[in-house]
Amino acid sequence: MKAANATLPLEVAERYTTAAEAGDVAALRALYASDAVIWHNFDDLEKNVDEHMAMMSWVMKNIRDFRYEEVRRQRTERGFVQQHVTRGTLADGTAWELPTCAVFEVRDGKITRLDDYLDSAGRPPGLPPTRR
Amino acid sequence: MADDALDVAKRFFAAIEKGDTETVRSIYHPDVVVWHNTDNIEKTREENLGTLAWAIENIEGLRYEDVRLQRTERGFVQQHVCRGKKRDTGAEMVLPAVVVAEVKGATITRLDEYFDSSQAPEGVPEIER
Repeated sequence: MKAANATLPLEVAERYTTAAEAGDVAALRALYASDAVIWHNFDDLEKNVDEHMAMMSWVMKNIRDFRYEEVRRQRTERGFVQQHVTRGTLADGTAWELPTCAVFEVRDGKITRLDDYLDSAGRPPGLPPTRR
Repeated sequence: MADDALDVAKRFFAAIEKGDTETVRSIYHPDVVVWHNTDNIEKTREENLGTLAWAIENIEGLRYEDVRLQRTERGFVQQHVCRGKKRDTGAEMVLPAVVVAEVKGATITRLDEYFDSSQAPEGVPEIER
């Protein structure tokens, strides 16, 4: 890891969290490279940025007080890894939480790949599948 | 020093593939904490070795494929697909998972593992069903 860009991936991580918690889809999208690949363990599909943003928009619209807590973030050789518990409030008022591990690859300050691992049993009810 | 974490990772997963629980035990720090997203419980070394013994007994050809291993600030992160075949039913296991480990010297002091419970083999002790 070169010292010159040593902190860059963690800055991207910080901006990512801030944008997601603010529900700022445009800011979130700007952090991704245009050809970024987003993958989730539960459906094993490699998605593009538009597909991922559709999911994030649903989350932001349907979960109140969406936030990342218990964040553990570390630099890796190709970016950063973030463990966290996503929390929020569902439409029916129940509290929702989901432990997640996100492995990000970052190049030139942009996210080029995100692999997201979680237990699908804990996904918010009603979340539409990316592809039918 | 930085390379040690990757060596520890390689020895750790190779030992599991061989069913060598004694080597796994020796790589775990005695006070290691092992956590899984599927039950959110911090477990001890002996508790985790119990799970491992279950896997070795019940899964044939247990192996890690599509391995992506990287050094982190406190150890390593490994993404992989855990594969094998359930001995009793013959069901193929295809379980993508990520392991985030903290390493001190030659031992693992904390291990967090994330996977999807719906893809895990029936009967694995790490899941609240």
